[in-house]
Amino acid sequence: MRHQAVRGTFFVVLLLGCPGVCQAKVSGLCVDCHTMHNSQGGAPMAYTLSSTGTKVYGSRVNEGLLNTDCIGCHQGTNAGGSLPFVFDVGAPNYGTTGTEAATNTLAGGNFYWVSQGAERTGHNVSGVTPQDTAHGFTPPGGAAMDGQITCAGTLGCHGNSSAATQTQAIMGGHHGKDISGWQDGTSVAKSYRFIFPVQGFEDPDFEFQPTQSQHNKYYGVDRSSETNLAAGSISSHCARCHGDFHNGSNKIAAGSFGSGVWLRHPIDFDMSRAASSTEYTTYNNGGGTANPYSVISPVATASTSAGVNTSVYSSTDDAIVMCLSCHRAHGTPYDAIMRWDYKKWPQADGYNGCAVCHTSKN
Amino acid sequence: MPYKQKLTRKAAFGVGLFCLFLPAAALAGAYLLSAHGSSTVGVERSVMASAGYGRGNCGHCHEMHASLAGDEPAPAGGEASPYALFAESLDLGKPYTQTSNFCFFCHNSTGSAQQVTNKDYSERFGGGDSTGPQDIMVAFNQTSSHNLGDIKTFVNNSSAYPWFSDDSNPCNGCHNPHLAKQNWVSIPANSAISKPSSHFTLWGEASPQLMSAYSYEAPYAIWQSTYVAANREPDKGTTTDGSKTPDYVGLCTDCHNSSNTINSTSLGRNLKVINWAVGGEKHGGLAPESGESIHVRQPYASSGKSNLVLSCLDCHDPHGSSNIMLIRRRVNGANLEAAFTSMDYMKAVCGRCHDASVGETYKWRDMHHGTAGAPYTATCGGPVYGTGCHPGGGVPIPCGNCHFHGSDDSWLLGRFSFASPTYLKTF
Repeated sequence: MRHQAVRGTFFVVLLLGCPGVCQAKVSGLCVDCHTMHNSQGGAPMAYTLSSTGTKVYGSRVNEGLLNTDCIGCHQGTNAGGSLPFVFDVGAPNYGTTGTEAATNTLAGGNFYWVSQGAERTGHNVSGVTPQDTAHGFTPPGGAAMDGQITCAGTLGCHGNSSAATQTQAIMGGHHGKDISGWQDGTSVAKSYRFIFPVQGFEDPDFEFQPTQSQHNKYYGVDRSSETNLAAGSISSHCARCHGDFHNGSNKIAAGSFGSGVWLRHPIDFDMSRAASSTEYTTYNNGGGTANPYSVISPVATASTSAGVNTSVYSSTDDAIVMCLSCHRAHGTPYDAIMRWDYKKWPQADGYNGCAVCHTSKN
Repeated sequence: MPYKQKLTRKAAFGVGLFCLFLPAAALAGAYLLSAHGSSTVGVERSVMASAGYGRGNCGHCHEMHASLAGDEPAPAGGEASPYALFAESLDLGKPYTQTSNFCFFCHNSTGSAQQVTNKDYSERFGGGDSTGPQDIMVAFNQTSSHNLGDIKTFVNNSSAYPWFSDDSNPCNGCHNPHLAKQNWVSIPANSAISKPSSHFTLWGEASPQLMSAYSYEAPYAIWQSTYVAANREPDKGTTTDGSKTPDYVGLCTDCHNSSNTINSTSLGRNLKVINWAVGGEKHGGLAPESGESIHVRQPYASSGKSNLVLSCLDCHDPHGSSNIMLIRRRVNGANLEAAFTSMDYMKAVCGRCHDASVGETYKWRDMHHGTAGAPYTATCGGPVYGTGCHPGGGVPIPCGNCHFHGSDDSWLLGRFSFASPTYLKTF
């Protein structure tokens, strides 16, 4: 009885703290996520998941009275529900590009492959896989970090990067999330996938079997300078660790950014401004106006409206190249966390997702 | 409408219009059809192949982030390079090394990225042996060659080629690396060339971009003293009208025409003006003088065609040559009788098509002084060989005194009191 009362009180408090009815805000019983005393009948409630997916109860007590950690909640097999699984202990169905009808991975891919020792197929997140044997704590294109990458926090991608711990970093996010509107990046809860302060519009299905009209809407900045950090863009967040691949003097462009010559593949740049070729006008087999959006090689947009962008070259700056045009954030079966098997192309078992944009390079 | 969208729409219209005229093959995988993009013979940088990159993959030439698994793969320069290529071209002059030009990292039989064999025109299409260069870099390091630095300067400074940038590779002046095919594999359906004014399409794969568009007679690849259809360039076959030879005139005159001024740092002067159009030069579209007898050899003598037009590559090897002026080491079915090391020995190449021994013992005299149409029968003392134009008596004068691109005989003006130039074209 006492437990039920506590649960009820906690839930009411949560509801009162929410300014209205929010889509995709965490729902259900508090006990689904929290344990008040890490004790049930004297047994510990906090757990981690083993490499086989079974709960391992121990003596740890989690911040935020949480039952488990990030992986503990987000480990499983996707079937299209509201809880996104990013790590599966069994091989997910990625298909060829992670977008086909039978696939069960999400927008970020899955940590499965990197967990199996294929280091180049995923971010080497603590708790999923050991640190990278080739690079340790130094990410390609960036400076050495203070430790292994984590899901959230100072060393992580999600939450507030100035927070001391992962839980503190993500605090308030799950309870404050409202995915019905544009995520303006003003708080963790109002940031795209809690990636503070990244903007975007979130697909409620996390891009489970995405289509032209069902996918995330990524925010990008059409830059005119390679030193522009493109604040709020999804790519700017990648640049926190992989900065040389995104910004910096003489890192991306020789001469004028956008009208000169690229030194590295441009990011946070709108393809409609490409001076060297007209091949981008036929993005995804389109005709140059209102080309169909590709979930295989997606682009970001400067639009901040709460609506899915189903076409490209329909509005200003809606064809912005981003890191996620080619890569996924968590993991894929392919090296460099590519969305498709770029390395093997043009051999028979490779796939040329590049040709979605580079339409003459097929 | 935002300016960019206007541009986009214009571009889209342009692409659409352009696609209407594209051969189907180009729409269905132009890069994969190219020599570089081929999954069987395409680019294959050794370090990338070791990392699992498939043959023909972009990564063999381009590094998207100047990084492979966190480190810059060989050849590592420490910085990202223009066009995200794995190395920068340093644009150094002769002798060319692989660091001089990005292409030489592979088109070099000792290249560090890949070793590619390429034969010269004389061997590949001219029926010659393999004593010539076996890769492009060696070809460029011969006695004469296209000056890559001059090409870059000219193309970059010309408004006719807006796609070319300060960082573009001069080889791209004639080749589009994403389109160029192995031209010897399927003649003429495979082209390796693109006109600089039309860089994004191949040139010379089908009519009318073939030499058959002119009054052309394919030279012999293997010399025949009589007229036969066989043994013709470029495939030693029986095609005589140039329908297997790309329109090299169209390619070369994109730059080497009568309008452009092209400076050669190698020669220390501007290049001779070339006018291959109708009314231009005799080896081009200019009709012969009435009654002119030039004693041509086979297959031209019996071609039955009037006003023959030569392909530039009938005489020149486009990358370089052991002779001066990029003159081929083999012309019209046979090697030159001697190295063409100065304009004084021009007869070595002229003689492959002009029979200098007709009518007399002294070579060349008859065609200048002896035949009915000879130009210098009176001013030089009549039809018999004289002494006025030939200091030293009977010593022949070098062909190059009068015969070169754009030449006429105006050089006689004022040189000899009795010599009056005719101002007739002499090339």
